[in-house]
Amino acid sequence: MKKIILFLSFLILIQTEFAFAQNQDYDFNLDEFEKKSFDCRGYLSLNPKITVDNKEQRLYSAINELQIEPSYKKDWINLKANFSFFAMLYSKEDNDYKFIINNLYQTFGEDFSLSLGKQSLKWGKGYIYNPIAFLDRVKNPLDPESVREGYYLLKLQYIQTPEGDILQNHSFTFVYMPSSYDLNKDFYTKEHSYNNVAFKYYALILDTDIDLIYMQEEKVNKYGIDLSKNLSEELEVHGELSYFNEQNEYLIGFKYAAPYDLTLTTEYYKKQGDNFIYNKLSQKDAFGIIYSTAYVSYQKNLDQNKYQVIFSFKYDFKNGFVVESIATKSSQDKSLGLKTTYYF
Amino acid sequence: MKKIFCIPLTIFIFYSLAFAKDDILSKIDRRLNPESFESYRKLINIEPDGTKKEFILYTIKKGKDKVASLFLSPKSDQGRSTLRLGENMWLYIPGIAKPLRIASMQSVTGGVFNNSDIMRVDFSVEYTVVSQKKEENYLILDLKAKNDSVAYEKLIMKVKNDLPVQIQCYAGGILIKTITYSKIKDFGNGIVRPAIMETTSPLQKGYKSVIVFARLKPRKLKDSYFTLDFLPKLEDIRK
Repeated sequence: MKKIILFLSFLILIQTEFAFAQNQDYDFNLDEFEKKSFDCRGYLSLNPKITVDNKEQRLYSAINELQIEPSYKKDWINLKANFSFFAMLYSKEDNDYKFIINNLYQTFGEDFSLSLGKQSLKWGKGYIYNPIAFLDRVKNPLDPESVREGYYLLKLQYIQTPEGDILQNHSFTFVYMPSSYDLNKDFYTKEHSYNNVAFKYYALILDTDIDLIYMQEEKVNKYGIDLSKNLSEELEVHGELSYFNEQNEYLIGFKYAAPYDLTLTTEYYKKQGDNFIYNKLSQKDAFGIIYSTAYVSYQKNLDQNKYQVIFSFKYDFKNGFVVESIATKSSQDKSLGLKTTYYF
Repeated sequence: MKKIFCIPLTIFIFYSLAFAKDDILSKIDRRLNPESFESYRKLINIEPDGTKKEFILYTIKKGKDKVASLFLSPKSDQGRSTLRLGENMWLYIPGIAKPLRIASMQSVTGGVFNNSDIMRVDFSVEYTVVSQKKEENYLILDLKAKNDSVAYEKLIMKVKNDLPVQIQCYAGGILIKTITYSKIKDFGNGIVRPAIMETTSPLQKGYKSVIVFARLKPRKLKDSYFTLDFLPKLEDIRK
């Protein structure tokens, strides 16, 4: 483990020195950024972690990921893909290796578009949970930004921008998603395949974002609505509500963006009958260190008295390397991790 | 009878003068860029010790207050995009979530520039001319924000040949930053404007942020490019 950290430190230093040695004038050569038919980017992320459970047992682990995002656009071909290869190493369990196709889809058209393939829709306005994301994978509450894998589906979308001050723009989306044992298995129940369909209407009315959703999954009708609006320059409010099987789930939250990049996010939500609260206070350029971000988050299941606190400090070395130290404490365990990501 | 004619005449003269003052802002806006255009910009944050962080942005703008930008560099930010429609601003981070609302006074890039500096709309949308005076070869404009949501309540703009030379930005009665325009460049299509904007702030002593324009050309753009649904597809319209 020490050798890995030393090697990473050496690489970061070499890269940083190289970045400092770049020329000091304002030359701007666009050749490097000219549009190419084929593009590929990605990152390599190493994430060693030590976890201590309530019985004081220690578990060493390292969740390492190589993510590659190729794209190809020429004439009518507009292909986008995103692949992840995970190497999950554990001190007390068997190691696990996984290859995941997060996205792989073709898009035709602009205002009226058709997308076909594996893709994530990312419906909803909530940060920690999205009751109306009927066709997305459930977010990981430990790391809500980590879930990237989509489902195989067909998406038709029409964007319209009418003249007028009240309705600024709106869009109509239709989604068809088949589910079977081999395809979109999460939606496969009762041992027979099914055709799921969903409609979404989005509108920016005055300064408010609104989504209305209807979905038919098996024989269940699902309804959803979300809203997002700035009450003032600093204060944004958002909310989501879903209704199906005579039950509802909801989320209400706000984000206060103070000057000097201090942001407070608070969300209250109801998920599968339980009530949760989530708070996150984040500061960019924390402790006067430019390109750093520090945050503390607190999440609690109010019905089961379970909680989780996360402290994080992240620094962008300006050369592709981003290092983040993460300390967590929850009802079950505590952990300390150091995540190093290199973007290429 | 004289009074009956005098009142509307006074109103007419007052409004004519007010519009003439604001007309200079529209003139400056059109000298800086056409109504509908695309551009490539390099944003450089310079720290007190001279170290830099650079961002390359592909930006499209239509009308007075529709702006969308796509980050082409650095690699850690590549694919991120921002949208501004009037006072509303959003940030889209690929793979993470739907576009999130962001505040004008915060900064997606860090450094001296805030979001409203990076996604600047026409001056005539946000400001009105309170007064103007001549000083040597320059015209000094005192600008007042039209409403509370504008990032800076007051600007003092030094203008030469209908182009800004220097802008002092005030908020809460305090000088927040000074923007200096330099290196007049012919971008073609009749666009002759400063290629460099340097920004310093007394609140961040020693730090400097610079925007360098490399390409700026008129382009007919669809309104649909300036929507949340289109933000993930901004790369597709780059030629």
